[in-house]
Amino acid sequence: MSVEILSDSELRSKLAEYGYPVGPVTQTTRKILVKKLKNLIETRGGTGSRHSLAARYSSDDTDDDAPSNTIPTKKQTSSNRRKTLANPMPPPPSAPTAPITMTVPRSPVKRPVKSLSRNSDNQASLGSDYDRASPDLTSKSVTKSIQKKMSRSYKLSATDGLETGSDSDIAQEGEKTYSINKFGLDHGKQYDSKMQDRASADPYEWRAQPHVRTTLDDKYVAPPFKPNISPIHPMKEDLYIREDSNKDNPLSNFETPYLSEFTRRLSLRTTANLPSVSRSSLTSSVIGHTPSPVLNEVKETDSNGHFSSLRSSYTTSNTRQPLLSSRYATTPAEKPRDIVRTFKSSTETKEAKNNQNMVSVVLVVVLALFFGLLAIMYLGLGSKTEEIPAISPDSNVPLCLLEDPDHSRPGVNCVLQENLEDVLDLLKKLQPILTKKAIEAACKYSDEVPYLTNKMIINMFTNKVTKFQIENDLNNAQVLAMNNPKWGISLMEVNDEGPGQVLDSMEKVVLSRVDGNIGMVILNPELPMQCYIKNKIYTVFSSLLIVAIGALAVICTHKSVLWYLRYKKRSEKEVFQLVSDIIGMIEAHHHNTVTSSPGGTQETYLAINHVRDELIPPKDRKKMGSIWEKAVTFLDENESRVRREVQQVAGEEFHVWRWLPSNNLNVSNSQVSQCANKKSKVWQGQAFETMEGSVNSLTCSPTPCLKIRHMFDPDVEFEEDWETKVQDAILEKCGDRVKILHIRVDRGSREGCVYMKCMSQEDAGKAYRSLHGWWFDSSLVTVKYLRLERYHERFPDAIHCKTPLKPSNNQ
Amino acid sequence: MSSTSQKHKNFVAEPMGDKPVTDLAGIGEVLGKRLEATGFDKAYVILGQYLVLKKDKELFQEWMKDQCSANAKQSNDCYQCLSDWCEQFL
Repeated sequence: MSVEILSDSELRSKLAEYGYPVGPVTQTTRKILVKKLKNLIETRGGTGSRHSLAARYSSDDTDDDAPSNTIPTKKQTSSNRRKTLANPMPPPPSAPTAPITMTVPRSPVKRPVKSLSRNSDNQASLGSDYDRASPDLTSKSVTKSIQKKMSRSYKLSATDGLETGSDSDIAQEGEKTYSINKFGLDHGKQYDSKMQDRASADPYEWRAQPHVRTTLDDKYVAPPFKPNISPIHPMKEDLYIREDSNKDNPLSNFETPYLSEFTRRLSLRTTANLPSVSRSSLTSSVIGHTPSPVLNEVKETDSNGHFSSLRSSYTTSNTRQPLLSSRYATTPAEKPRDIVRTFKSSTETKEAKNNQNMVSVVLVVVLALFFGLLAIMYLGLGSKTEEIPAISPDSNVPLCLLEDPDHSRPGVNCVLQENLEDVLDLLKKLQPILTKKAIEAACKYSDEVPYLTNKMIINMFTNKVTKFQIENDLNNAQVLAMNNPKWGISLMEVNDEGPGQVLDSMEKVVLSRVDGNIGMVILNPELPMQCYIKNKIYTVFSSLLIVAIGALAVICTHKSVLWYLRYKKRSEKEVFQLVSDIIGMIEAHHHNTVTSSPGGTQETYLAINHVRDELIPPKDRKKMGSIWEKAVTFLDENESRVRREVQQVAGEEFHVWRWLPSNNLNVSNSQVSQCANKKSKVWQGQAFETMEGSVNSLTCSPTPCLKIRHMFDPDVEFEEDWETKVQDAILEKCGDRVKILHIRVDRGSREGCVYMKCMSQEDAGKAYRSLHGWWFDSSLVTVKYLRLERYHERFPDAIHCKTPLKPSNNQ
Repeated sequence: MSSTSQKHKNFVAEPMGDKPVTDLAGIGEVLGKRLEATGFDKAYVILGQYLVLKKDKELFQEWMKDQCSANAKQSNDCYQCLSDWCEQFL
């Protein structure tokens, strides 16, 4: 039963979960495959084999296989997993089923499902569970059977591990889905999308869709687990739709592969538009259901808009039933059509989708508007659109009053009434000139100074009026400018070399006036747009330049530090290499002399210069001089087995090195350890059987990717090419019959992980069997399958690998 | 058919054995991937479908179009390849 309603792709993945090498699911093969799957479910006891597969899947990408125990309900399972890693796994926590039954309370599903939720129950299988539940079902009413179907298909989607294409492995994925289910909101969406995917393939579930939607909506609106809303309302829709599709649209029941959902829907609509004989039966069924008292409740508690039209028709029919039925009878072609349309689930979901699209579009538009507004405001702030304050007599004018000592000196702190007119006139003439000058200075149109000194102003106007009068007026004008800062005219000290400080009090003005170096200036003129932008760009670029120079300096220092460190390391390495060469040479010489002439006729020492000349070719001697010196000092300081002494060699005194023989045990020990080090990277035999048919290997390999653990110990690896050695060891072990496309040693892993991708799944199976359970470098190698997508995510370059790799020494 | 591709010749030249689906003429990497995803991973599985459809060209091309959205040329090549192979070996 449960197997039959699966879509083709689901059926395929289900079979793959059971490790059955499944081919395509077509109309011709479907029947037999369904049968096979049923068989498998019965014989294997549901989830058992699935988990044996899951156990071989590697966990995400961490080295640790146990999932993090953040959610307390998972704890039990994870500990179970660890215990039974090699054996079939216990079923995943069946928490998901609980929320389902919560949304659909009072249904008989609850009982069998509960038996599932025992974590320790190893044999509990979803499939058999359906079977157990099904007789229960048939005895119940239609309502419950529909709900049952729903929850069942829901469960299917929840356990459908391979399909979802998420990046973790199966067991974890199950848990993930479950934990989402626990928190009501998300699961609806996820579920819904799944349902939509499936809808095109499976008319049965397609019809059931509105149910999902309503339960979802109810959850949003009413507090969760409000019992009797969802079970009854969706049941109605389900019934309608079934009638609808049964009677109006013979096509919808037909599972033809060439019919898309759209054509089905289209035909549904066309038939609905035709006034047909079956219409009356439909209407009667509609009305027959409407008087149910529960409907009022539905309407009250559910305020979501998707079904509003449907609901309104419900209420009207509820209150005015006789009238409505007559209306239906008289105009059968109009009203029912509306209802039918409302019932059409696919149309509805489409509308819902459109709504969602609308919302997102509106959000984007609002955001764009907001930022646009912000930009406009910013620009507005940036270019001050302040008007030039008009110079008018109603400004703050300190008139001279005789009795007030603060306003008694014309030209210094007050203005005489009779002069006011002239002064304002002068200021009005001066202001545009000053503005122009200021703009020119700011925009660099010319090299002119932005200010006007007293002298310049006097020169400007002398041909019209007398010099004394202008001076007088100018003094008064300065008093006014000082008192009216809103005009924007400032007074500043002008020295011979250029503009000085801005003067902020009349006393200073008077002081400078005596010296004759006072100027008027507009400090913040309103600049034209072009100039403003130019200035801004200039500022931006100059700051960018500074930042770039700074960054360059930082990078340079960083590079040089790196280079220095590398250089230091390299030279250190060379020194050590040289030291070991020297020691080896001296030791060999010592052994030679001891074995060839036990009597001791030959010297057991070597001249230092001689050693150097032997080790370093002549062309490198200059270059290696410093390194040689370092090596010699290192030997002098840190090597107790070599003694430096002065000996006569061929009549000349030389510094020589003499090997001080230690006891034999030491020597042999070091030799043994050296040998062991050299030979460690080999396969040391098999720990357990992994050949075909053994319990330790799968019947078919699910993916072409493998994760091999314990291939090396990152703390111990010191040789330069240990990675290549590890890779070669794997490649050689697998041999020619396995085509390996990509192999990568994970240097950072604590468990010595190596990832590898094979040409095909069969190859992966072969590699699995030839690597899993072997001893390598005195540690037990374990292999797990890795999801292909996951592998590509981690190593994107693996996608393009097409040629099989060969060991590096066998190219 | 005025001329046939190298792939076609290669395929028709010998029994198909365990050849992957991509060895069929007209089926490249993309189509091969799609077919593999639905379980048609070997050439003989395609042959099976071809035979189930009673060697009908139209049906087979339509099926190819549905299964892996192959275009007319691709499905024609594939069909030709299979029918030539059948003539030779079936």
